[in-house]
This record gives sequence, C-alpha cells and structure tokens, in this order.
Amino acid sequence: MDERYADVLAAARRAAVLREHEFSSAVPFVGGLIARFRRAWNSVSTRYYVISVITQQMAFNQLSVDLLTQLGQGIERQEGALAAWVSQASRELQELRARVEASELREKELREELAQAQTWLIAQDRDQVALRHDLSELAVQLREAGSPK
Amino acid sequence: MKRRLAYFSPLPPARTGIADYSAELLPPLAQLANVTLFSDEHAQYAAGGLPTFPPEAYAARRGMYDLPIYHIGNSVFHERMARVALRYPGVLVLHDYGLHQLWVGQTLAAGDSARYVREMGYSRGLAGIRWAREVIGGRAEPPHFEVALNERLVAVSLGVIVHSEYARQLVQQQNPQQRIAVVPAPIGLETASPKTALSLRQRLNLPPDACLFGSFGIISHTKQLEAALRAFAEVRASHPQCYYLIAGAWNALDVDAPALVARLGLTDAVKCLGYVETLEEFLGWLAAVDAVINLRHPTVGETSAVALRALAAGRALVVYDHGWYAELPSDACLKLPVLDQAALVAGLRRLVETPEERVALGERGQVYARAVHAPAQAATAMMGFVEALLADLRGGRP
Repeated sequence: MDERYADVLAAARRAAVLREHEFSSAVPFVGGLIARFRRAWNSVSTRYYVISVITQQMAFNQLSVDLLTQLGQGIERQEGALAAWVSQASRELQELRARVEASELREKELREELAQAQTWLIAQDRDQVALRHDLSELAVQLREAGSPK
Repeated sequence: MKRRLAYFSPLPPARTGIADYSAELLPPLAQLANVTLFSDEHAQYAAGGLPTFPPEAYAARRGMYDLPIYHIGNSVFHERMARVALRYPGVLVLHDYGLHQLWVGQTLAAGDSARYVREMGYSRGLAGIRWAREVIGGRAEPPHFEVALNERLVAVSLGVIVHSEYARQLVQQQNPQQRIAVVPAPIGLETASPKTALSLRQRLNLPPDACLFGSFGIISHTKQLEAALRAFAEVRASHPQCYYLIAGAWNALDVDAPALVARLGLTDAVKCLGYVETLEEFLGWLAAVDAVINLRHPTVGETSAVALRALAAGRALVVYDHGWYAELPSDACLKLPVLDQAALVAGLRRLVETPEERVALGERGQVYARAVHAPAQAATAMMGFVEALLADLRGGRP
C-alpha cells in the first residue's frame, strides 16, 4: 500500500475513538469543587445525550476506517494484479514483436520462393508452347510425308 | 490435288467484321482448296454449301486436314476457336495485333483470374503477374492497349498471317523466328446501285446539295466519334448543307451516340441508324454518303473492314495517319495527323468545299481497293502462304 495512504489511515484510526471530556479547573483552593460541579452539572444536563452521540459517531468512525482499510487493501491487490498484468503484457508484446519479425522474414522468403516458382512456371509454360508448336510441325510433316505428291 | 483446310472463323450472322470478311473470302478460297468450316455459327451459316462444324469438333477430325487456319480477332467471337488454336496450332490469321479483350473475356469475365495472371506472366514475366494482381484487386484497369496478350498464340502457331506491314513488324519484333506473311484483307467489291443510294438519301430528307458524312461499324470510344462530330459541327457552322450519318451499333456505357449528338446540339444534322442488319443495306448506306470518317485511336494493329468497304464503294475516306491506315496510299484517302482536331476540321471543310476533289479521292480509293483487296487475290495470297509453309515444313527448318 502507498505509504502516505497508510499514514492517513493510521491517523484516521486513532481519531476514530472519541473520549468524554475530563472537567478540571485551575482556580486555586476551589478548583476541585468547580470541576466536580461541572461534572455534576454535565451529568445532569448534557451527558445522557452526548454519550449517545459519541457512541454513534464512534460506530460511524469505525465503519469508515474499516471501509478505508478495505479500500486500501483492494487498491493494493489491484495494483499488484495490474503490475502482474503489465509484466505479462510486456512479455507477450516482446514475443509478438519477435513473431512479427519472424513472419516478415518468412513472408519475404516466401515471396522470393513464389517469384522463383512463378518464373519457373512461366518458363515451363513457354516450353510447353514451344513443344506444342514443334509437335504440330511434326504432325504436318508426317502428313505431308504420307500424302501423295 | 487441292489442299484440305480446316477454316476457323466467326461467320454471318455473327455481328463482327471478321464474319463478313470470311463470307467474302470463302467463295474464292473454296475454289483453291477443300475448305471445312469450324465456327460458333456452324448451325446458322449455310452459304457456299461447305461442311460446317463447331470449333471443338476439330479435335476428332484433325487428321483429315492439311492445316487449320484460325481467324483470331480481339473479341468474344473468337474465344472457342482460340482454345482450339492453342491446342492444335496451325496458321494464325491475326486480325488485331492486340488480343487483350479476348483474353479478359476468357479469363477475368469467366471468373478465371488465375489464367489471366498466367497469361500476363507469359507476356510480361513477373512484372506482368504483379500487373495482373493489380487488375484483379481493382487497383488498375486491364491494360488493353499496353499489353497485346497475343504472345502465346503467335508462338504456338506454325505461321502467322497479318493484313498490314505495321502488324507484321510488331509480330516480327516479338517473335523473330515466326513465319509471317502480309496478305491484303479481302473486301467485297460489289457496291450498291446509285438508285439505291439515292433512295436512301431521300429517306433522310436531305436538300439536293447536301454533303453527307458517315461513320460506320461498331461505335466504341476508340472510333473517336466525338472528335469527328465536333469537327463536323465546326464545318457545319459555315456550311449548313452538311449532314452526318451514324450507321452502327453502340454500347451506351461506352459511347451513347444519340446522347452525344444531343449534347453537341446536332440533333437536326445527325441521323443515328444503329446496327444495320444486312450487308446489302450497309452497302446501300455506304453508297449514300459522300465521305466516310473512320478515325481510330488508339489502334491495336487492326485492319478496318469499314475503311476497305468505303474505299471499295468509291467513297472519300478520312482516317488518322497511323497503324495500318498509314499504309493506305496517300492519294486514295485523306490521312490526318492523329488527334489533330484542327487538321480534321480543315480536312472535312476541304471535302465539303471541293466536291470534285472529294469524288476523285473516292475514285482513286476504289481503284486501289479493286487492285489490292479483291477477295480472289487475298485467297490466292493466303494459299500461297499455306503452300510455302507446307514446303518449308517438308524441307525442315534449321
């Protein structure tokens, strides 16, 4: 996981736990009295609903932190998968490049072979025409030799 | 003893000039040899009473003939006989030097692209194969005028007959070993009567002093009809008695003749007849015009039957000065620099303005056609080549 994200998440986890305020007073001699009074007054006027709100907020905070943790882990997994895919794709690209180069080489060879074959066929074709011509001449010569003068 | 010839050619009613050519040549040729016909039109052609078979029947009958003669031109009409010519070679009568369209029909159009690749490879080696793949992939048009695709037929044949010195030189450059002869293309010398010509002119409701130009035969973009009509329009601006007749089929995807006429604002001056069904009617219309404009660019080394018929009919003939056309005598027709529109306009103007010169030009053309292109002479020349070839084979060749 990204380091910065981990720091932020740790801070969020720490901040997720809320605590009740501890009343105190710096007033000499009667400070303890004042603090006790504030606690008493707070327990009468505020504490019963603040505790509830704190509980709800802590539950929400915990859920949020859990969710962020899961998201972080998901991202971490995806980053790992992506890195693996990129690595695999890179290998495949290398292979394909090599195959294309080999194919181009083979195509060039095949074209040369085809040109040779075509040249040979043209030569055969010309030979065949010449033979057919000669055979026809021979046929006429045979007929002429056999015909009455 | 007469030679026995297997004669392969399109025959009437096939809509190709080579069918008409054979119809002209066969009567005198049959006087000199025993001719058996092999043709796609074997079931339709009965003139002359010669035995007639489909091209493929030759395989089983080939022992009965001294030589096969194959008439090959650059069109679908020759596909079946070209296959036989490759299998059982004989004398090749090469009507068009370029045969690319014929091979495209046999290969690409039939879904056999591998054979097109093979043919292009035969012709141009590996570069041809790459070119063919571009064509098959739709990245290039078939190179109809750049690659003749006649090499295999020329190489396999025992001898080659062409109709022009131009074509002979091309074949010889390609295959110096081949036996080649130039035989003048035969053309029927019969012409329509002046009465027929007059009657057809009357059908067009022309004024008495009209000068009628005409373009005949299959109209394709290579016939340069637009150039001819543009020149005509320019001349007509100062000579409103000029009219134009188009007698021949067109493919609207290639040249839409009526649309072209309308686009040039010549509807009142140009009559589009379309395909003329009979030779008799064709000759009639030929006699009805005052001058025949028979431009061709590019040329695939063809010999124009229309040009020869125009000469035989005594019509003033206008051609571009290249290919076979350049071999016509300069005093027998009007030969113009290729694609030179100003020269074309000037030439047509001269024909309009000097009727006596126009008539004299036609007369000299007729004299030339009769002297050189009579079917009997062509038949004799063809048989002369056959005999020379057979003698050569009897004696053997180094």
